[in-house]
Parts: sequence; C-alpha cells; structure tokens
Amino acid sequence: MTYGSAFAAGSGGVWVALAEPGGVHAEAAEALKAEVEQAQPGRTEWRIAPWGQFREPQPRPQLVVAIGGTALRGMQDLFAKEANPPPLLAVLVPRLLFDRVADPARLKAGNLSAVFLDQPATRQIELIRLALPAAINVGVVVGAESKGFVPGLEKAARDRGLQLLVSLVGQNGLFPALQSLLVDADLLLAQPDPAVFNSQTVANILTAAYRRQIPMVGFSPAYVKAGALMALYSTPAQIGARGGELARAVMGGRPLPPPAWPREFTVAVNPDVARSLGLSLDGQRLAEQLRQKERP
Amino acid sequence: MKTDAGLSLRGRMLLAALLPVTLVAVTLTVAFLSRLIADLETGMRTRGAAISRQMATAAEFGIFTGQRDTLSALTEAALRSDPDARGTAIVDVQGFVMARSGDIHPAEWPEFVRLDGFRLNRDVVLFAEPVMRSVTPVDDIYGGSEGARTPAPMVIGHVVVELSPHAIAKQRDRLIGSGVLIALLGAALGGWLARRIARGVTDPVLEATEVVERIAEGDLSARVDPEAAGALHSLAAGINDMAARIGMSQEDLRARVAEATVELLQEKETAERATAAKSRFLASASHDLRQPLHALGLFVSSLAQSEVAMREPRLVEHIQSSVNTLQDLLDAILDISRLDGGTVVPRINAFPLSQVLDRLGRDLSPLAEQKGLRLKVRPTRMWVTSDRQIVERILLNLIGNALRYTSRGGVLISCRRRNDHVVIEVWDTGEGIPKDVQEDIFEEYVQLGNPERDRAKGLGLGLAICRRLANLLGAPMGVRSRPGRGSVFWLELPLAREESRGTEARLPHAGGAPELTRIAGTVLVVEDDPLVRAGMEQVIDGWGGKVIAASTRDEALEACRHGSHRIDLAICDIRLPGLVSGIGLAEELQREFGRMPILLVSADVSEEAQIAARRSGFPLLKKPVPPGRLRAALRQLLEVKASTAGAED
Repeated sequence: MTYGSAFAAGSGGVWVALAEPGGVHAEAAEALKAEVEQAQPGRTEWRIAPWGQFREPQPRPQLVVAIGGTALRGMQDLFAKEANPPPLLAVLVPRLLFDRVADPARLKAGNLSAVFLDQPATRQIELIRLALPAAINVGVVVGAESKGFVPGLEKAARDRGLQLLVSLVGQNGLFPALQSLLVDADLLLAQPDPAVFNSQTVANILTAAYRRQIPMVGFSPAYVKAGALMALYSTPAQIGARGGELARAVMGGRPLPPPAWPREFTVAVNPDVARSLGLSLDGQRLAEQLRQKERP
Repeated sequence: MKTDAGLSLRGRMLLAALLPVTLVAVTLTVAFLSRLIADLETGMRTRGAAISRQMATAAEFGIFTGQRDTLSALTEAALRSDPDARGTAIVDVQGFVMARSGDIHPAEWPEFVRLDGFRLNRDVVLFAEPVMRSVTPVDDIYGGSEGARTPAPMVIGHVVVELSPHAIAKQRDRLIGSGVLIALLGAALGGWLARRIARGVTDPVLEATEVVERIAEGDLSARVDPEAAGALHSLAAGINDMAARIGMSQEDLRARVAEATVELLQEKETAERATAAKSRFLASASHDLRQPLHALGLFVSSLAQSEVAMREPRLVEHIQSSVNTLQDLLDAILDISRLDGGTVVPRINAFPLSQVLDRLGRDLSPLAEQKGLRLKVRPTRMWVTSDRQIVERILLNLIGNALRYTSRGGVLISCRRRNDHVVIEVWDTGEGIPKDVQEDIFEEYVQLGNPERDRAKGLGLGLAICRRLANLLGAPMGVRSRPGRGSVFWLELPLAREESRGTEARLPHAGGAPELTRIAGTVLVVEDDPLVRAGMEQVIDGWGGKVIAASTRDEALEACRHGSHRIDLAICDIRLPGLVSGIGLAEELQREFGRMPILLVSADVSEEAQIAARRSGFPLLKKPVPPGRLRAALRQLLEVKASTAGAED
C-alpha cells in the first residue's frame, strides 16, 4: 500500500524508453500503457520517448521500461551510478541479448527483469510435435551466438522423444553446414541469429530446404511470408501487454518478477507452403493447442 | 536536230518518272535495310541480355550453394539455347570461374559490370550480368535487429555470355544483297513503266512536233493521227484544226495574190505600153524635129559665110542663136526622156578629177570672162570611181548655172575628202536660194528669178537633168545656200582606190588638132531627106569640098561605081528608105570600095541605133550635127585616108 500511496501521490511516473521511435517498439509501448491504463486509468504519469531523450535521472521515475535491446542498455547506463536505481523492466529483448547486456547485480537484486522477445525451447519443440507429428529429427543451424540455444532445445527435444540435429556454421560458410544438416533433418528450426539467418541468406536457405522437401519453422511473421512453413512468435502487442501486467504489479507495490518468456504467442502458417508439402495446418488452432499444453 | 530534241524530251520524261521511283526505291530499301539490320543487332543484344539475365537469376542458388554441377548445367543449357552463343560462364564475386561452357576468353574480359553487347573483339560480343543475392526482408527485431531494414542487394558473382556476331553479319549481308536486288528490280520495273507511260506522251508530242515542222515548211497537208495521240488527243485535234485553218487562209491569200498579180500585170503592161508609146513618140518626134533642125543649122552656117551675112550680120547672128537654143532645148528634152526611160547605163571607171575639172575650167573661162566673173578651180589630185562623162555633164551644168546666176564676184570649184568619198563643191556669190525652195529647183522647168522665161537664162532643165544623172550614179547631190550671200552645189562621189586607177582609159586630148576651115575631097552624102541633103551639099561645098548626093542605096552604089568622081568619103544616114540601113550600106561600100571612110549620121536617138552604130565601128554623129563638128569629123577622116593611102603607096 505504501508503494501504491506513493504512486498515487505522484511521487514518480513511468518512463518508457524506446529503442527506436515508432514501429514495433511504439506498438509495444502502446500495448503496455493500454494494459496499465485499463486497470488504473489516469493514475500513471507516462513518459514515452526514444531512449536517447532520457538524459537526466531526475525526477526519478517509479518504473523504467526499456523497449528493445538498445533502450535496455541505455537505461541501465543512465542509472548505473545510482546505488538505488528505479526498477527496470526490459521488453521486446531477445534472451541471448539480455543475458549479455543485463547487469547481473541488478538482476540479482530483483531490480531488473525482462519479457523476452523469443520463444522458450519447450514451446518450439511442442509446436513441432503438434504440427508435424511425423518429424523426429529437428535440425538447427547455429552460429557463434545462437549456440546458446542448443542446450535448451536439446533438452526439450529429448523430453519429447525428438532428436535435435545441430549444425554449426563454421569457416566453410553457411551452405556446407546447412547441406550436412539437410541430409538427415526432417525439418529445419530457425533460431534468431543475424549471422546465420538474415535477409540475404533466408531465400537460399529456404530454397535449399525446399529442394529437399524439408519444411522450415521460423521465428517471425517475415519467415512465413518468405516461404517458411510456419512461425512461432509473440507480437509486440502481446509482449507489450505482458510488460503492462508486470508494470502494474510493480506499481502496485510488488517486486519485479524474474525475466520470463512472453506468455502470449502466435502461430502463423503459410498455407501455400503447407499445401506444397501436403500438410493441412491451422495457426490459430495450433496456438490454442499449444496454450492448452502449457496450462498447468 | 529533231532526233536530239526527241531524245532529250524522252530522256527528260524518263528522268522525271524514274528519278522519284528510284529515289523511293533506294530510300525505302535503305530505310528497311537499316531498320532490319538494327533489328538484327537489337535482337542479338536482346537475346544476349535475356540469356545472361535468365542465367543470373538461375545461377544465384548455384553460386550460393557452390554447386558447380548445377552451374555447369546452367551454362551448358544457355550455350545450347542460342545458336549465336559461343561460350557462357559463371564467375564468383572474386572473378573465379565457377562454370564454363563453350569457348570463352576470360583473359580479355573487362572489369565486370553489367555489359549488354560489349564488343570484345571481331568475333565476340560480350554480355555480363551480375548475380545478386536475392533479399528476403526478415531482418526485424525477431532476427536480432532493432528495426526492420532491407539491406542493399549483394553481388555474389557474374554470368558471362559470349555471342558470335558472325551469324547476324551473314544475315545482314544477305539482307543488303536482297535489298539491293529489290531496289534494282523496283527501279528497273519503275523505269520500264515510266518508259512505257512516257512513250505514250512523248511519241504523240514528237509526232505533233514533226507535223508542226512540216506545216512550218509549207506542207499543209500534214496531219497528226488523233487515234495514235492517246492522251494528247485534243492537242492533235488542235494541230490538225490549225493546219486546216492555215491551209484555208493560205489558199485564200494565194487566190487574192494571184488576183492582185493579174491586175498588176495588166497595169504594168498598160504602163509599159504607154511608156513604149511615149518613147516611140519621143524618138519619132525628135527624129522628125532633128532633120529640119539639122538642115537649118547647115543652112545658117552657109548663110553666115555668104554675102548676105556681110549685109545683115546681126540678123544671121540672131538666127544662129535661135537655132542653137532650139538645139539645146531639144537635146535637154531628149536627155530627160532618155534618163527617164532608163536606157542610160553608166560606165564606171576610175579617173582623176583634175582631168574633168581642168577641162571644165578651161572651157568655161571665156564665159566667165565675158560676164566679168572669176572662175577658179582649186587643184586636186584625187581620183574618183564613176562615169566620167556623166560627172562631166553634171558639173558642166552646175558650173554653167553658177556662172549664169552670178552677176558679180566669182565661182569656185573645190574638192574635199570626206571619209572614202569626195565632195565636189561649186561655190558662187550669186543671189542665193531661199531655204523653202531649195528642193524645188531640182524639178523640171523651175527657174528662180526668171518668171518671164528668158531663154537666154536657160531652160530650167539643167538641175533636173543633174539630179537624174546623179541618181543614175547613186551619187548624193544637193545645195546649201544663204540668200544674198551665195550658194554651194555639191556632188559626192566615191573615192577611187589606188589599185583601180591604172584602168583609167586615157582619152585623146581634144582640141589638139588645128582648126582648119577647109577640106579637100569628094564626099558622098547618102540622105533621104532632101532638105538635109541640100543643107549638107551647101555647107560642104562652102568648105571647099565636092559633094555627090544620093537619096537611096542604089543611087549611092551607082554613084560610086559609075560616077565621074572618085569618092573619098561617104556620109550615111542610118535610116534609109527600104530595108537597108545606113550601117548595112556602109559595110557594103567598104567591102566594095576598099577602105572608104564612112561617117554615120543619125537623128535616131534610140539606144539600139547607137549600140548598132558603135558595134559597126563607124564614127557616128547625131543630128542635128553642128557644122563645126561635121567639118572636124570630115577633116579627120579624110586625113586618115590620105595618110593610109600614102603608106600604101
């Protein structure tokens, strides 16, 4: 109640620092604000701006929300010298990035938390099981950065009776790694790693996979558009809304929860690719099935 | 000429028709050919570009995956896809050849950019297309970037296609060949057509030209065939119509001319008859007048020597004067009639003017002295080409007139050279002639200052005769005068050229023989007119000669054959009774009696009579014969006879 009183007394507002003005970041910010305002209309003083505009730590906000990796870095730096900085909630940040950037001390102190952008390995593997029950060997191509996903994925696969085939992009380039993987894999599960999956590689990766009739599961709607069979992701609005729930809790006086995966998600299917592969998939139904699986 | 005109007309028609046809044919051929050739080249470029683009698209994945087999299959397929392709290759971004087919020249390749038909050498047209890595926009926050971005396309290699230009060069040559052939055929066909069409126009035109020329030459029956004229039907019809009209009007004209000619001939005949009648009348009249006048002169001459003259000298003198005037008048009238009759033919020769002028001066000086006037002839060395006798008569008249109408002062004769002519001028210090009558004085019987027609002042025929004589010579003549100061009569004669001077006939100088009053010898006078015969007898008798008279030929012959006297000389009248002319008798006498000198006398002033006399070679005196001249002639003939007789003896 003390937190709430202080909040109500207007002792501090909420800073929302955007990594980029507009776009998905603004969308997430809007969703976050909407979530808070829906519950406690008009009680919060919002300051939503690109992170570079927050120069002075005064007047102290009650909560800082960083939307995007750069915003997280910027807000962490802004309050770096303070012994007791305001709680910082990172939203829309890839997990690997968060792991690299987050101040371990603040993390440990519960002063820093996040709603990740990417999806938990279990959810990914579970989706594969639901959508492609015949698939056993799940192939992943990883680079230096995305190597970090491998343990989680391996565990999730093993738990569900699937085999994870990992191919690391080495000095020979992407294609040899991909080629060796595509020999045995039943599907290709893409992991966010700009060194491996980017605009210039995706088309050829998809082509290579398609030539072997291997479907690819992506991690963003762009992959579905580009020719992946389906993609599992959370929209900025879904993540923003989850961020809003956490912000409300903090403003309600509760401590920040530990960093977590986004709770809401979307499954998008490319019906043409599905048809080409002789599959019949419904994204919404899959998402629903997946949610039911995740419910305790 | 006609052929030339025809050829040039045909040629021009042909040119007019052929030139545009040829121009069009050549222009079209050139235009189509260049279009086709351009199309060929464009086609090759398009094909090359299409092949290279297609390959570039297809090669992306092959380059990405490094699958040389795939790429080789691609280059092979591309090589086979076009007959002009001689080599294809795919190179990676470092320029390393990943796949190649056919014959390629990597050593000669320029730095790769997009090449659309780069002419590598004579045999190679090079096409190059960069292979771009296709971009799929997946770089968003899920992929690890903060914002969605589309990276620039990346070149991952190049596709190279080498085409051979030989096939299209061959095709181009074939096109040019057939184009030229078509142009030539077109021009030939056009020419042939033009020639045919042109002939349809030129042939009728040429035929029409020929017909017009024939009409111009007078062949009015010439016609153009209107059927053959084709397009120029109306022209042909017009020419025919024109020819017909010309023919008609010419026929009309001819008839009128013939009519007029007949009338003219009739009039001419009438006029000629009248002239002949006039001449006959004049000849007869003068003959008939001369006979008594001749006798009268002879009688007066004897009278002057008789005793009666001692008693009445003035009476005889008056008679003598009247007879002289009568003779002059008759001579003048006869001269005019002869000049008008056109029977006088001038004999043109070169002669020195001084000869004529000196003699005139000498002859007229006594008259001048008698009137107390100075007569001066300015000496000249110029020669003229003219009839000497006619010139002399004109000048005699002019100087005589000047002396006659000048009462004090003098008369000057001078010659001036004007270009190649000589102007002989007779200056006097007389009354002068008013301007308005200066032309009239050359008419017959016009005399100034002699209204009473005193015959001593002349007859008024002098200048009329002068003008006629001058006309006969073609010599300009005129007068300029200031009343009260005097007059200048002038005559212009052509100057003789140097080379013609030698031909001048030198005449024996008259007046060289001494005038003797007496003659010795027997003279036969053959004269049918008794009055004239008597006059002759009397005058010759007065001079001391013996006269035997005969009136006919027979009498004359009788007298010669059987007469008591030897005949020294015969005077024959040209006209004798009967058919025998005086000339015939003279010839007869000479044949019979050796070299008997004969003197012909005649009152016949006709040209024929004079010509006949001249031809016979006998000397001829015209009646009325002045007694002095008769005596001189007789003396000369008798002297010649005496000298030849002497030589014979």
